[in-house]
Amino acid sequence: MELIKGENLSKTYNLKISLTTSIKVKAVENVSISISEKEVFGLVGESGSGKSTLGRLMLFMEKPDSGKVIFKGVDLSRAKKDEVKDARRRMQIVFQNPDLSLDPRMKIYNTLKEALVCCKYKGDFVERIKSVLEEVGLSSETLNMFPHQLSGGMKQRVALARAILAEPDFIVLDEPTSALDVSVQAQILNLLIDLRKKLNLTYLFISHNLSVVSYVSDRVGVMYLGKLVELGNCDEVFNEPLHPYTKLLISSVPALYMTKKFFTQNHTALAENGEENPSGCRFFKRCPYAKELCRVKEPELDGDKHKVACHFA
Amino acid sequence: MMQQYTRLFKSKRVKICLFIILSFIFMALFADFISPYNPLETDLSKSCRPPSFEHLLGTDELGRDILSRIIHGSRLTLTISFVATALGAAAGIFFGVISGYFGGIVDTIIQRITEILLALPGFLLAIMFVAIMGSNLWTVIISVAISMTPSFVRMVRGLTLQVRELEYVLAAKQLGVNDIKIMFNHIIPNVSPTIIAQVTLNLGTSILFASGLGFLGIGVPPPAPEWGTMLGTGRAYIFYAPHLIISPGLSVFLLVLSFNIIGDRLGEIIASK
Repeated sequence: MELIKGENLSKTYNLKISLTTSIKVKAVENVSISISEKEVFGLVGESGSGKSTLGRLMLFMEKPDSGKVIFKGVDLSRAKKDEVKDARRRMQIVFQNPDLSLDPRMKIYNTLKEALVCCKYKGDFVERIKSVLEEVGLSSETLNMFPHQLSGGMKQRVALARAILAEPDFIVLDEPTSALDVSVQAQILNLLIDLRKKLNLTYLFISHNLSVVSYVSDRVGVMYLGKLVELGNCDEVFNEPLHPYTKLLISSVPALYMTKKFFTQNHTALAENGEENPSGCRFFKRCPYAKELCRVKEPELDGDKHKVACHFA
Repeated sequence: MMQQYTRLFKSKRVKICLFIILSFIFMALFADFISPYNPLETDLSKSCRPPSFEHLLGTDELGRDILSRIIHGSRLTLTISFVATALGAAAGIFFGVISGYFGGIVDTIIQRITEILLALPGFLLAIMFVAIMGSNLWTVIISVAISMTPSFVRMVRGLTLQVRELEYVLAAKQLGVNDIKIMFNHIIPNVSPTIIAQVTLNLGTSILFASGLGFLGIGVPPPAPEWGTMLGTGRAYIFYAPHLIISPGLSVFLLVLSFNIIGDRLGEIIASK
């Protein structure tokens, strides 16, 4: 069963450089993804590839310039205000930076209470909050603390508790572990996996850490400069990558024993700045297999289950 | 948060300034009990007497006791300063938060009005206002408040623009918390430290502004013992009886300096966190 679908989503930001000139940054361009119920969809790509923007577009936190978001069969760009508000509450987010995701001037209890007020919870607030805190692995003493009294991992657990208290169906995890140290990362990841089973959640997991994504995801999408370049089951994408960018990404994960071959083959490609190629494939300048066709024609995301946007894959 | 404010009182300068401000507040509160004479009682036979044991700060051109007038004047000055700053800050926070939070057309309208007000000198605005409404305590308070509102609007808008894009505000929006609650519970508490520092500085500025109006003769009308008015009338006797302007001048100086030093220190503490 499909839970949420983004169709042909595009978002362009205008960056004002001076009074008269501004550059347009195409953060996301014509991307379609669909996520089924209880699935974990991983989204990978380098910084600035539009992963987070795509996540925010799916949440309707930002309105897409074109395209639509369909949540549980409802087209959010055409829905009434109340419907959108209700749908947005059922889609929550956990942010990358735990220091910024909680209001520093608010006690944890008040932060969490907001979520309960918003979903019009009828029962006892304190009890409900305590039980959810326990679920995310925090003691009830946390209730009366301020965010600055908690560690990064604890703050992230509180942020997760806030998301869960809103009784969501879908949670966007926007690099939830990248600001934490490695031992805490593992704890949070396992917590996320447990909660998904317990509460029947669907995740959009955004990360640039390939091993983390491969650990949690069922399906994976690879983004490059605002476009989805490869999409498929987690195992397939990581074991048999089809797009040259995915190959590059996977081979650039530092291994304990790196072969000389890695450096000679990929170093130039990595160093080259991925400039936009207006008419053809976006990866053209960095691609070791690029041909004349790639410069002229942009490849479409094509394929059956394992989709790829490359002329020669 | 509280720990930061306790840091404020560790500095000696701040302690001295606080002592000065508190003693003026004490004078204002108990003026009726501690002033040796009636500040309005004239005695032309004693006009312009220099300081003596009978009149510690001397008498003015109408023979009124200057110490009593300073003590009663602190009541007027502090009332103007606190009320005007409170009004100005409240209006500034209100329009600033709305302007920064909603953006768009609301922001444009508020900002253009603010720019017009900023373009006119504060004194000119106040003179216009007093000319229309006549001069009394309330017109002085309101004209001081109006003159400080635009800078508050600007500052609060800038701070709001920073805070509204932060993750905790985005998370609250995603939950569906309504805009008014977000402004009151998330934005105002998080911009308040900077506002507090600015308010302290403005307490000083508003005293200067109000006594400036008094000096020009459009402040609180005589015979009220307002420091600026005292300076204005005493100016005519500056060579003959300088004590007429030394005491009110020194009072303004001390009070404004104290507010400024505390405001600066608050600003430093907030910036260093």
